[in-house]
Amino acid sequence: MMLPLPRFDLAMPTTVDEAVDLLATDGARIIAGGTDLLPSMKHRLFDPSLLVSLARLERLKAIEPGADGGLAIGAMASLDQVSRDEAICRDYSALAESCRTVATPTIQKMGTLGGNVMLDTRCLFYNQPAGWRKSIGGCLKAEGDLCHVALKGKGCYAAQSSDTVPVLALLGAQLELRSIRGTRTIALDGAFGEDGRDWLPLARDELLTRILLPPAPAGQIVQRKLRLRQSIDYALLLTAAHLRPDGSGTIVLSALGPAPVRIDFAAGTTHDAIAEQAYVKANPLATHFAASTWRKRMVRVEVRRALDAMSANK
Amino acid sequence: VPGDEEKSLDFTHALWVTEEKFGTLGATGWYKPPKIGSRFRRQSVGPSPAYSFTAQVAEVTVDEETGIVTIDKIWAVHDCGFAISPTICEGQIEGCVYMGVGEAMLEEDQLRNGVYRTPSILEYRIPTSVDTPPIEVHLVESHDPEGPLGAKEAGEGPQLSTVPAIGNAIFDATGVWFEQAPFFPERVLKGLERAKRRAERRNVAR
Repeated sequence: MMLPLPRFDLAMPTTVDEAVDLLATDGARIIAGGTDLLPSMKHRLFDPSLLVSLARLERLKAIEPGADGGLAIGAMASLDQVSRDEAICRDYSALAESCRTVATPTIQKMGTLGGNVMLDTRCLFYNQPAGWRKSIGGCLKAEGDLCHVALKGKGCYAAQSSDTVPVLALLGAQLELRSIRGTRTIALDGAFGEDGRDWLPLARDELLTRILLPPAPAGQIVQRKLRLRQSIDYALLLTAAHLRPDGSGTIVLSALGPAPVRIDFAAGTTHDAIAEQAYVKANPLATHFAASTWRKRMVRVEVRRALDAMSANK
Repeated sequence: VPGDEEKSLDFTHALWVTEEKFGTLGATGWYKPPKIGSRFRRQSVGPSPAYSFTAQVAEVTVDEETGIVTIDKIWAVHDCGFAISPTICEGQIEGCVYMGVGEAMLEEDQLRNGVYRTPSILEYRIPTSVDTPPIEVHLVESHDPEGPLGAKEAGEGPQLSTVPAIGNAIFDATGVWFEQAPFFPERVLKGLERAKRRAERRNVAR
């Protein structure tokens, strides 16, 4: 089936100021790598009148040392570029690894870190062609009608599917946002909302310019992506874990609902107890092809394996 | 032209020039199975004048905690009659095994209230290159008296053995039969647990 793109105008600004001005116009939308936006436009999930391309904003492709000894990653740095960057591979290796698990090598070349952080939430009933959605009576997120995941649900449970967000949350990443009103910085951890229709922590006319990382936290960070195929597939469950030298740590689970789930644990907690805590907190719904009961059970296994891997490295 | 340096080309170069000018070099031929039996509906499809034989072995790893089955390697041995082009025969057999791996592990049509639940290839998954195990192919050549130059087939027969070979390997590893493909992790995990409960009950009864 041929799915044509809707008509739209394209602007290619060369400065961030110009881009932010264009973004303030009605019906404007950002296009970075376009690997997720264009298929979604073909599915008639968005119908922007103007696409503001960030492709010519060379400054946003830079990865530079940050002011506080950390790192500032331009939002337009490609996932491939991030996964190969010397400083990131050395100090933030879990981030490089998470970039390498995104879709396919081609998409890693096109897709950007900023785009991945802002990735639309996904659902089996949402990411489908308009005709298919119509045949099931529309979807809550796209047409504002009926949710097929939770029949009486008032909110949308589409899953946060960014492979980099859990690791960035553990790294304490900050998001630098620009708009015609100025610049502001927010913490990524805890920024995402619980409703899949309105989960992003920024206004429609705000532009993510840089992802700021503080100096790498002490201890180890690992991430795991559960999927049926080892390429292309979106995650069925994302697990990132941070173990501090004192034995305490944090787990971030994602691909469950619109917002990642965070579990902090104290030093001395057994791996099984932490896994059980995560299992109780995780609540996957039928947003994916794989059975949600199985996905929930996998929380225990994935969390324990992440923790075991770090203990083995000690 | 023998002896004339200026009008000579080495063989590879000559092939390049020829293919550039005339397209791919090759030979084509055709064969139609003879009419067998009497006239009946769908007779035109024709019964096979010859039968190919295939044997396959699969090596798998089953993760008992997740139900995820990893295929480590598949060996495929096929009797295709006379292999007119052995390379193409091997390629066909590899393709069959690949499709069988998809059938065994990933591919399933699902309906929900009459609507396709697997409308695109993001849901109806086919294996990618990283999900495809190493495949070792051996041809067992025979001479079929009916087929052209003694050939039988190498295009569809080898696919039939892949799913049962994987199913048998899972049984060999776990002692549990799975009769429904694809062997999705949730199905394997459920099956393993059911078998475990049954074994426990049997132990209690004793």
